[in-house]
Amino acid sequence: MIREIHIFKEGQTLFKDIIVENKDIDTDSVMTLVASSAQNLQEWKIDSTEINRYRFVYMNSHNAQFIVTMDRQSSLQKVNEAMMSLVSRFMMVFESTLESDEWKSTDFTPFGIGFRKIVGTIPVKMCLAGHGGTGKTTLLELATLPSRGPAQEYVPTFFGDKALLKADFDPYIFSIFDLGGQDRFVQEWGKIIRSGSLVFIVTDSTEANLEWTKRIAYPVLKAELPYARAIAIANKQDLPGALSPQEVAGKLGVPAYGMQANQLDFRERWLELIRALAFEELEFKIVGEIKETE
Amino acid sequence: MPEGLAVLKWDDELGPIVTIRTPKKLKIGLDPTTSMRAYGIATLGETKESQKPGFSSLAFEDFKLAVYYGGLNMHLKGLPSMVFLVLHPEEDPDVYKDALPEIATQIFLNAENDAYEKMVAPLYKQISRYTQMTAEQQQASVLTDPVRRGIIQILMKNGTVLSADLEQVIFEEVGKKIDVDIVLRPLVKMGIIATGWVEGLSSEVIYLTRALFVLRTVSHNIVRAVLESDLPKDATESYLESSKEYHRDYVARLRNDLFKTVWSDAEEIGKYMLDFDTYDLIQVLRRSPIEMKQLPEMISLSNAKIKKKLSTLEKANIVTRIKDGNKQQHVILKCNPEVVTVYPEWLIQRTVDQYNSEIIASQQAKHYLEVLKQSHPSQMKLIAELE
Repeated sequence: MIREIHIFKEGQTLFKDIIVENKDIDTDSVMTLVASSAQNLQEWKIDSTEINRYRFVYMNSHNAQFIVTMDRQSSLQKVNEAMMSLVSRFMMVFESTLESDEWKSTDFTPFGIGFRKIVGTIPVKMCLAGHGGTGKTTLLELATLPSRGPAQEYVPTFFGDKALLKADFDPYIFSIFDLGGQDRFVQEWGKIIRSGSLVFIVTDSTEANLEWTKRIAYPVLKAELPYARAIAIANKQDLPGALSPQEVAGKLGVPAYGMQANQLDFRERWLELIRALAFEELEFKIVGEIKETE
Repeated sequence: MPEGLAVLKWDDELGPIVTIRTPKKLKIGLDPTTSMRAYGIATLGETKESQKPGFSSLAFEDFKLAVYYGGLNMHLKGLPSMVFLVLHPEEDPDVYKDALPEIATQIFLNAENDAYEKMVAPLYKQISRYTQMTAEQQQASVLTDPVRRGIIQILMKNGTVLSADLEQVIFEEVGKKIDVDIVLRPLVKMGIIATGWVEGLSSEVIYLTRALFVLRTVSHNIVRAVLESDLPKDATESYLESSKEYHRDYVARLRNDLFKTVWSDAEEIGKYMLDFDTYDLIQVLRRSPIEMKQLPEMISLSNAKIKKKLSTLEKANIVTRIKDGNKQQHVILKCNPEVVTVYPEWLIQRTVDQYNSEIIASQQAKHYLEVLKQSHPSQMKLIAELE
């Protein structure tokens, strides 16, 4: 998932577009550092560096430095391709401007439309992780197949499922991966979840399920996606004895949000949770930093 | 006949995606849920280290899938790694157990720069013929593949080679790294090679158990049939003389440069055997000499096509035409092109020599001699008798 772009020339910012802010680092200092590395790059060569959960992909062209910030574990190859195409697009319009002094007085904001279009070509990968029967497939269908109506019967998912979600999340689109929750499939998650940006830990809000999640799911998630953002979905809140989202959050060490995936009325809430996690507008945890508190 | 064929690759953001399909309108069996399941079946229990290619089949309500998976290595690198055949619900996927891996291998070998995309439609057209391939044609397909032919040439010289060395040889031949398992699989299946691990060696070892090549033999059936036919005496004598002369020359060429003669024939004759129309013609002519005018009744080819194929076979010195007293043309095999496998007896001494001059590790030599002992015809006969 691409988060930001900064374009510099001679220490000045020509253009920047921040879709999701890098909140836990000093972006200005990092940009100064990365831009100076980019200056030393050969024309059209791409390089990258990682800090915390971010990766900064950079390129130098016509003495302008292009820096794209992405989630650290997203597909580098795709961001490299995106970088090539966005610099090409930029140069098509502004090449002659950069070659004269005109750039000092040019408004580069129209480039924002092209940039966001390119961002939208790389789906944000989100993974629904949890034990069998907690409602992952129902959540997948609630988001992507609302006309079908939520499934009322439990059919175990073999290996995994996936669907594309295009909603009002401009510029992003999402690819949702529903991970088979039977014990034999958990060890297979590693083959599916690579490059994931968002993890939804789906629980049925029972003690036993939370124990399973910590014991079985956490080690795989922490090993494979340590830099992804995570929240817990405290599903099946309508069932008697369901633990509250606060209780689920306390036991899992991850902010938890209540849900009833088998109710179509909850679709808006579900989409809002997806959106808010992608744009970092709700409380979440980084997978590698999850500590089970109770 | 299957509904269609599709090639899939793993995309980290999108999961399995169809890179190409044929026919273009093919939709059934390619939905995301099905392709995820197929990936699941293919990769279940595999680790990065195991990454074995393999065939599997899945049955759904409205269709079946025959799937060949190229290995986790390709999956994780985002290269085309799965080839699907979509079948009618009443079709048996196992029919394609040999043909699909063959087609998939051709696709995987041409994965770079998407070169395979142009090959998919013609390969799909051949799929039903592939299922009807005789054992001889399957062997011929090995000999026409330059990579596999190269491997057999190396093994017929040295008998045994390390998988890592073979990987390098393949790299030099095709200019890219290819999963050795995919290349060797049909050879193992045909009993041409065996593989095994030897203590102290870091790489798997490949052994030749049967040599594979093409020979132009004298068909005694045909000679007898010509002698017993109603052909005029001078025509018969002319055929026998030309055939004798041809074989005398052929044997001289074998003596002069065995390697060159055998492998140039393997490449050329292998192609004729893989051309189903030409092969049908050879098969008919292996039974007896045929009057030219009878050929269209015996094989389902047009006159023009028969003439074209015959002319090719004539140029290749496989077929000859003679006229009888009534000026009727008769088509006769000049030589019988045969794909043969033989026990590589010469490799026993060669292995001992290689061991003595420390060209191969002692364990490897001992293991190969054991393999040769077990695959010796006398042992095979004994096993067959016991069974």
